Amino acid sequence: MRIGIVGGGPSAMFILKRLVDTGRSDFSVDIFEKTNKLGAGMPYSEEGACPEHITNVSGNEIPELVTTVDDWVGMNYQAANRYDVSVKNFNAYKVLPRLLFGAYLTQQFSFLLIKAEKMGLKVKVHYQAQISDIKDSVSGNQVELRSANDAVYTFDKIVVCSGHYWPKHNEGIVPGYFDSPYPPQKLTNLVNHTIAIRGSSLTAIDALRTLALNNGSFSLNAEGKKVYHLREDCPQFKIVLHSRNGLLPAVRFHLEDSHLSKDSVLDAGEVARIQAAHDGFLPLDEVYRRNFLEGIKTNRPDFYELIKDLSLEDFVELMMIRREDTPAFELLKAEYAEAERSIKLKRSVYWKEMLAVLSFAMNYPAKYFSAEDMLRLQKTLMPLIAIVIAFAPQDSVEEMIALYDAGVLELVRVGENSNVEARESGGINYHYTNEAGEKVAVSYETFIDCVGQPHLNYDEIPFPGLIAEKTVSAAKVKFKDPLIAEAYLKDGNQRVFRNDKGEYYLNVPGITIDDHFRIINDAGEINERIYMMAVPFIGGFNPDYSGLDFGEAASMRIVGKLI
Amino acid sequence: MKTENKLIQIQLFDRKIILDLKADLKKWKARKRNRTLAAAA
Repeated sequence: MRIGIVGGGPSAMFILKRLVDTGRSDFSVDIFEKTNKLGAGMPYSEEGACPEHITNVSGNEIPELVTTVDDWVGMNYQAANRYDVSVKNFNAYKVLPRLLFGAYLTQQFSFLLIKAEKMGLKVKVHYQAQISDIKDSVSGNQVELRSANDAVYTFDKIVVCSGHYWPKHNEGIVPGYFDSPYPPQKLTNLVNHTIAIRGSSLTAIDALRTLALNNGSFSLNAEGKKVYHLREDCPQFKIVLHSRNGLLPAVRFHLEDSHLSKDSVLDAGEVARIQAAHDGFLPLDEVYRRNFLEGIKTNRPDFYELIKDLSLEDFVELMMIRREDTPAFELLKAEYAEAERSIKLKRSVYWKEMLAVLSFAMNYPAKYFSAEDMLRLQKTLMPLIAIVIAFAPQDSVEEMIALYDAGVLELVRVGENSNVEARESGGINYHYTNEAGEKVAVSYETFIDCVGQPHLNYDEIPFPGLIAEKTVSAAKVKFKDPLIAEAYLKDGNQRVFRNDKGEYYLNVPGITIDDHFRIINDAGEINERIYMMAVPFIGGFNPDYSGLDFGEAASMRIVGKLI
Repeated sequence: MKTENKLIQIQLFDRKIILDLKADLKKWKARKRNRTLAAAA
C-alpha cells in the first residue's frame, strides 16, 4: 500500500510516528513538504515566528516524541544559547522560543526517518513540493496528488496535514492591510503611527511583540518589572487591539495534569450509549457534566459545592462577571499575579484546567451534538473557553503590561457588529459601536487581522478537485426540534436549512468527517482513502484547535484505520 | 519552600479562588434577581 501525506509539519510527524510505532513495513510513505524543512510547520518556523515568539506550552506538556524537550536542550545547548536558553536555567516547566522548538521538532522528525529506515519502512520526502490539487478516483480506488509544478502522484490512501491556511483577501492589494501577521518578518519596519489590530488573543500577541521590538525596547526596572522604551524616531507608534467583547486572554498557569486528562475523552461506545438514550444526540450538558463538573467534584470539592447547581449558561455568565466588570489590563495584571503563584506553588487554577479538559474532550463528540447544542456551544461556552485556554505565556503578558503602562497599547471593545472597510488608497476604516453606544468610524494607516486561524468553509479548501467532484461535503448537524429550526429560519439565519426529507440542519464550518477523520460526501458515504487532519477545514466538527495535543490524539484515530 | 509552609501557601491560594468565586456569585445572583424583577415588571 502507498500512503501520501500532504504537508510535513507537526501533524505529519505524529502520523509518521504512529506508523513507525506499528513496527510494520508492508507499505510505503511519501511526504510532500512545501518548504525545505520538516517538523516545524508554520507556527514553529520563520513562516510563523521570529526569535521573540514563544510557545504557550512547556516541555512537560509536549506529547511524547523520540526525545524529551529538556534532554534535547541538554544535547543542543549551542542552538539553545542562541535564544538565551541555557541548560542551567531551563527545565521542563518552561516555555521555549518557537523557532528553537521548531528545531527540536525538525530533529524529532529526522529521528523518526532514521527509525523508519532501520526497520525497513520506505519513506520518501519530497521537499519544496506544494500540493495544489487532490482528485479521488472511486473506481480506481486511488487518490491523485498534483503538485504546483504539475507532477502527478498516485496513492492508495492520503492524509491531508496541510496545517494553517489564511486565504488572502486584501493583503498585497490594499497598502497597509495584512490578512494575518504571518510571516511576522513583514512587520519589522519602523512605524510612526497607530496600528489597528483585529483580535486580542495569541495571534494579536504575536503581532504586537514583533511591532514593539522594532519600535522600541524592553528593560527591567529596579523592582525587576519589565518596562517599555519607545524609540525617539517613532514617537507616534501605538497599537490598538480591537476585540468583540473587550477581553484579553487568560494567563498561563501551572497545570496539575500536564496532559489534560486525555483519557477522560468519551470513547465511541460511551458516545453511542448516550446517543441511544437521547434520540441519537449527544447532549452538551452530559459532556459538561462528565468532562468538567466531575473533575472539579473530585479535585476541588469546595469549588464544586458552589457551582454544582448552576446550568452551563449560568456558570459561563458567573465566570464572565469578573472579566466584564474589571478593566481588561487590571484583570490581566491580577491574573498574571495569580498565575505566578500557581507556577511557584505548582498548584493549578483548577476550574480553568478543567475548562481546557472539556474543550479537548468535546473535539470528537461535537459532531453528535444537536444543532441546538452546537449553537449553545458557539454562543455560550466557546467565548469563555477561547479566553481561558489561550494560556498566554508569562513573558508575553509582561510585555503587554509594559506596553500598556507606557501608553503604547490600548484595547477597544467593538461589539458584535463591527466592520473593517479596506480603503483603496491604503489602510482601513474601522466601523463599530463604541461603549457609549455611538456608531463610529476610525481610520488607520495600517491594519493587521489577528483573529487567529479562521474556521474555513468547505468551498475554501485549496484543492479544487475535492469540491468539483463533490468528494467533500459541508459539515452540518441536525436540529432536535423542528420548531426551533423554523424560528431560526424565520429570523433569517442562513446557516439553517431544510432537506428533502423535511429535516432541519445547521451548517457548521468545514467539511464532514467521521471519528477517524475520513471525509464523508453528501450521500453520507465514508471515503476510505482520504483523511483530513488540516484543522482549518474541520473546525465545525472539531471546535478545539489545540496544536500538538490535537496532532497526537488525531493521529491515533487516523492510523487506527489507515493501515 | 519547606513542605509545611508550602501546604499553607497552597491552602491560601485555593482559599483566594473560593473567596473570589463567592464574591462573583453574590454579584451574579443579585443581577439575576434584578433581571427577573425587571422582566416581571
